[in-house]
Amino acid sequence: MDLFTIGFPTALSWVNLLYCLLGVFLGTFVGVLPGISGLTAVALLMPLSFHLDPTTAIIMLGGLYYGAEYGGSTASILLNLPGTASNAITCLDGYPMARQGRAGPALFITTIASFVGAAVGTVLVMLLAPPLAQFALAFGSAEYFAAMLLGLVAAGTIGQGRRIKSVAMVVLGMILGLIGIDTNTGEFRYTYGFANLYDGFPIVILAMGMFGVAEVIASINQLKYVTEVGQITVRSLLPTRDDMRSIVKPVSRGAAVGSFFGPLPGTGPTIAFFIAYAIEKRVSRDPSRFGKGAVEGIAAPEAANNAAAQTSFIPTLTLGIPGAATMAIMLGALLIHGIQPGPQLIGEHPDLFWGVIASFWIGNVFLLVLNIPMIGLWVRILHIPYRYLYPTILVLICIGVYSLNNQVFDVGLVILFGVLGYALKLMQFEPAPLLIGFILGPMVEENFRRALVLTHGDYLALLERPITAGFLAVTVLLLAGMGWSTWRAHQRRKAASPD
Amino acid sequence: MMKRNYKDVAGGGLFVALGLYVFVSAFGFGIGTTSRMGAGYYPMVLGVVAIVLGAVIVALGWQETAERPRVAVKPLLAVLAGLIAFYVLVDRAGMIPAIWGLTGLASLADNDITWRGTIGLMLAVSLAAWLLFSVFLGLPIAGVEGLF
Repeated sequence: MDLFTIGFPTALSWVNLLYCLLGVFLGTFVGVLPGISGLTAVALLMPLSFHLDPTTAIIMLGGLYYGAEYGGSTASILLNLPGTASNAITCLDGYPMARQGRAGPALFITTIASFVGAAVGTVLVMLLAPPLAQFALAFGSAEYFAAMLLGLVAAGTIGQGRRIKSVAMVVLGMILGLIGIDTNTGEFRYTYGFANLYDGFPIVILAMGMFGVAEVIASINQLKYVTEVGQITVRSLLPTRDDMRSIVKPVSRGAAVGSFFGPLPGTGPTIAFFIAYAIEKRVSRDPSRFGKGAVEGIAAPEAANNAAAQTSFIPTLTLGIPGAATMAIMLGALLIHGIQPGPQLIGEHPDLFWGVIASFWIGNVFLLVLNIPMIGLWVRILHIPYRYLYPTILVLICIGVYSLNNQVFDVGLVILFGVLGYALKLMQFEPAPLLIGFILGPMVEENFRRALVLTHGDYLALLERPITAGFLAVTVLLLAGMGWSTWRAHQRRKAASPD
Repeated sequence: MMKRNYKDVAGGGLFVALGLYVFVSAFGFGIGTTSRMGAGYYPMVLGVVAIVLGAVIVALGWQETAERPRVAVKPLLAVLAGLIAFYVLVDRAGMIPAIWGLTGLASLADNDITWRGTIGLMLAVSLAAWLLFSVFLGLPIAGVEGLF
């Protein structure tokens, strides 16, 4: 087993252990705090990770990512404020539990469910990633083009708003990805004479503006913390025997749902979360208990989003196609370190792949410790007023971006994207698909043009390749389904409009 | 007055405008042919897609009703002013004055700020950032330009 011969020795080195702990600690920290998402945190720490070894960098950023999924439930339960978007549903049953004086068991159950979900997800990464990479080794440009196109279209399913608006955001990301030199012809596109734009710009800048700055502007004066959280002692955490018995099945179902949706390009933890909740409500003998403090309502979704957080690494590490917006940033980090994510990754950098997986195990055990005995610390963190927090976040954004190239030009770009991001947020356009479009757009163009060179410009020859044709068929089906659901939602809204 | 879903009408309009710009400018890069694409071919396609999607979003929003978005004017302006202050000051005056400008101005957005709290925050964040980034991580940013 490569996990034990390569993985654990790599992950258990002092440096990697330290950064894994740092990642999950900071992840829990930002997860607990409403008004700063895990994605923003990953973007904030990415510039610092440049100084690290690539394996250490991914171990830390990964810990940040799944750590935030743990922490997110704390604020949902105690304050009825979701710490991250994918924890919004934990409010529905977690907050009523807290109101009934069962905040402790609710926190305990979400932590255990998160751990089980993450463990199932990690096992699946170990089992599925190597054979998938083996399979993908046979991919040529045509297959990559088709798989990435599917990833782009699937990214349009992110978010709760109108599908077509998410698709438009994917396209906006692809348009922003045009900026820079065209590798095939050497032509400069949309650089407007700025030397800083000749190679395009890093995805972190886009993420810090569209997520970080826009999030801050939208959260100021909106986040009012209730300070009557009270004390949570370790003793009060323990759930009853009935609680434990009743969450076994929901947690398994949640982990299954999360494992299924996690690797699908573009879906990620948030969707898994909503679907897991819907399933629990459907299979429950008494659906009316939901929303009033049903333990299944917090256990299944928490298992689902953590399973999805782990399994979204599968397409990222084996195909180079991000399973979620945060994964797009992670891909950017790998590329900056000169590592091309793709099917060759496991063979060429086994220490990175297996080391990162081993770190999932270590990180999740750290999280168990961080979240159960140390829960009091996180509850106290919720007392930090947002008015001190957001200027600090802005400082981290500015210095982080400045330190990329020591260019104030990059800070200017963040300001620009911050304003754009806030405007799009007001108009309810989801920013996550944009990041996926930005990272996949240039790759789609390159692979498509390369594939056409190989077939001498014959489009039909592309369809004769079975894998390519399969991906394209699924893409068309997905597009048709999205068109249909947009149309139906429109008919409903029109009917609801008095006019 | 007719009610519309202004979020979608305005947002869709933005995409149509952007798509038109990308479409037109693509011709300047050289389109080539479908089998031998120039640098402008892919932007041209993206431009068309953006125009079509934008137009559909406008058309759907035109027939619906939705609340108008509420702009958080004070947070938007205060955060912008703070970021611009950082942009202007960081190379000219150094990291510490830039952080004072950013935190001081951005703090104005909050309804519950106090003078004491803001000044404390400015000092604490600038000191912590200088220690972390310049001293500990060794980033080449001057604390105060010309001094240290």
